[in-house]
Amino acid sequence: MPSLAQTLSDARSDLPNSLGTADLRKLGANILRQSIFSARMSNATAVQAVREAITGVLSGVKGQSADNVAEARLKLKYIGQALSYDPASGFPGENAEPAEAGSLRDLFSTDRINLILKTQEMMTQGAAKNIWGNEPDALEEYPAWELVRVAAVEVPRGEKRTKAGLVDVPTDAWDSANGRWVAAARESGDGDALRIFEATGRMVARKDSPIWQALGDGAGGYDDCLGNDYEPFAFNSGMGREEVSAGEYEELGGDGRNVGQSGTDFGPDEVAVRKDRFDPDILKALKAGLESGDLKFRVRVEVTP
Amino acid sequence: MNLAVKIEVDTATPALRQMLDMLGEEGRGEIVGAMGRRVVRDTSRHVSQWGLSHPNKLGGRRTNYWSGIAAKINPADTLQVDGGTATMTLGGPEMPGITRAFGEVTIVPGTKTPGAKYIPVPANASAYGLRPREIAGLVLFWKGKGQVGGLAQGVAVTRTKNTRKGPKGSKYFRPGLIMFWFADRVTQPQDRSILPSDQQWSDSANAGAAEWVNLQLKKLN
Repeated sequence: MPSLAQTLSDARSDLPNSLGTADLRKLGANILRQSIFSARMSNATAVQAVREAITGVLSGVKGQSADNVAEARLKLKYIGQALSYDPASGFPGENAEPAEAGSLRDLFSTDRINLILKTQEMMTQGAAKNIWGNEPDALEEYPAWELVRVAAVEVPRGEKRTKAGLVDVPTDAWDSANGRWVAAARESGDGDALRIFEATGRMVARKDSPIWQALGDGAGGYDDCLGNDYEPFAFNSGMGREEVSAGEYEELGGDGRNVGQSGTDFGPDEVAVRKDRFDPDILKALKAGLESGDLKFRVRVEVTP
Repeated sequence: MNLAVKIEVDTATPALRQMLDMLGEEGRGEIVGAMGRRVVRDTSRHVSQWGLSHPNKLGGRRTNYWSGIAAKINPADTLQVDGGTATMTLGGPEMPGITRAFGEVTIVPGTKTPGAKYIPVPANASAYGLRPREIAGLVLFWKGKGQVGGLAQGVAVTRTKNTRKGPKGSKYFRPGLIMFWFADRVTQPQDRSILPSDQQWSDSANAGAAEWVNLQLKKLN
């Protein structure tokens, strides 16, 4: 059975286009969310090849194991050659704006393909996360997300490469006092997220907080964002979300009750939290036993060839 | 190889089993579901952090392989709750390499690329995450009689005298900076630290149970 991320990827349409990143953004996040695309990739065969490459990375395909980005990239480079793509002029007959070979604007350069595949992989997994993270049980037991680094990037936001070496740019960082998280918290009016950040340095907010969409929309004036309320929020950010349990969120001073679904197209429309289903005495006894260590669940690990 | 982490009510202590029985089938399913979810979350977090803390040996470009694997460890794709048992299943073709936690993994050439005789192992930081075919101007070098050593950057040299391979003044490429070693197999040693320890899994499961109980009690207040 395909994974949830693969199912979502399969449901997306190909969007060949000759638009740059800024113009693509004008199409709106809803269209982009439902499409496989890359800026200035106007050739339908190339976009189809990107789709297959993403499938290869998510699930593995013949001749390529899952998460083998190098093999997927090599296949895409062959497609680029077969389509006679030339960075100087684009696809045959296209007369595209010239791109420096090997640069990010070169559609089949190593860096560009890496960016496409990793961004699409993270976006698909992020969209899937918005589905499984919005199930009723999930909202009740894990009412919040935490923004954390999940992938290494060469130059993280908050730093800039200059001739003199890396320099700090605190306003571009995710977790600085005047960075992206704080800007998104202020712009979306999430006082809890701001307070938790100021007290602990952790970027934690309820799943239904508008801060997630604000982050994806570039609140604070950032123009490198993808318009989604899920990771990677901005190109090549390396940032993702982890669930924060109700207890952990409460310890941080948050209120995780009655969390509604997040604002994307995914997930249930309404979440109802049921009450009074279990005998309080049994629950209290369980609590006491688990806390004292008298009661303990066992976990069995099986490895099968 | 597949790995199943099972959280079973049946193997709980008798006192616990009795209490869970009193919670009924619905309660048992929910509590092991909550435990399983916590185990999945903590496993994903562990794998992601493990990847971040293990850069390539030569310091080359990061492929973020483990962040992709961590994203696949999610409740929708890896957790199954069936009655009183929650099972997290890892491994299979979608997560190659993760079972290295429980045994060494040997990669042989030709599995993915038919006819390949060698596996190129990066010898230089700039070769990390790349296939040899992506680097222009590489030449073979030999490590002994008839034994292919790997691939190096070609350095253009002009012949200073006539030889069997070409006349004086002609150009050829000799190996320069070594980019890849060729190996006829690569064995990645077992590394249990890729995944949480059994104790960490147990702690996660029990923390998930405790929190589920707390949540139910709070609802009654």
